[in-house]
Amino acid sequence: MAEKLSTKRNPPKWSLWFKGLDEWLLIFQKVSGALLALYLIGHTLVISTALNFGHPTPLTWERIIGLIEGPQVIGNVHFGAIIEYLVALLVAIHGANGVRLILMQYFGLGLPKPERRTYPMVPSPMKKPQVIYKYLIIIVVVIFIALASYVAFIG
Amino acid sequence: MGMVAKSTLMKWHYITGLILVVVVGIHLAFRWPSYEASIEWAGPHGVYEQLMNIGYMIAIFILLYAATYHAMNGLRTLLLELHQGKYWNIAVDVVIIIVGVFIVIVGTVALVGALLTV
Repeated sequence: MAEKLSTKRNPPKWSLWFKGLDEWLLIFQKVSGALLALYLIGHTLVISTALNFGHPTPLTWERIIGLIEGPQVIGNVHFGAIIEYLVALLVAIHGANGVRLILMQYFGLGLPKPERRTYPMVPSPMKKPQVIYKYLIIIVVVIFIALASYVAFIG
Repeated sequence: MGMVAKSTLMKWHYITGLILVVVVGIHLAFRWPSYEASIEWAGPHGVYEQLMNIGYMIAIFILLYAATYHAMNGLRTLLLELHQGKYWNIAVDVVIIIVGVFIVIVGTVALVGALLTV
């Protein structure tokens, strides 16, 4: 007896989004972007207030920045410096991953040429150019972490 | 935002993204060699010295405008991915434009005033 074809729609499989590195990098890009957008609003307001909205004095600057920086938590390092350090890391990863996405999505660099689908199929994120992109991100971010750690905690 | 094609908005999102790599790099490089020294008003590498550096200030103006556009367009995209609807879309556009214009005005007033004062 012939089987009846199901006409029921399958619900979206959200779990597919949480599978591969590329999916995680895209989710990271969106979440970090939202956090950085909120930080931009706060940062602009704080620095503008510290600059006394165009009438800066050393006293206003030191008072506002002193308030925002908070107490010293590790040696001479203020609480605010640690927050800024973490934001800078977020910026570095968002930036490095963003350049990868721009090169790939806008300029099409690193995308494979159309080809016949033959077994075993290798998805394009697993192919060499895109894997190199991801290693480059790691190298850039590691160098950034080294420099930022020096500036925040040693310099 | 019916006046501007979505592809144009995204093209500028990518362009400002590439600009930001440069100007954010400059902004962070000016924390060298010490973050604490770079946020002091006076002293070597301090804020007063940064305000007197015209090249750096040009980068900061570009940073303010590029970051605001990039951030607001990014937030808009996220909010429209989460939900769609006639009134929601209009509300998102209106709020994004108001917040963006507010950041640009506050930042520009503070920076121009500071440059004229120091």
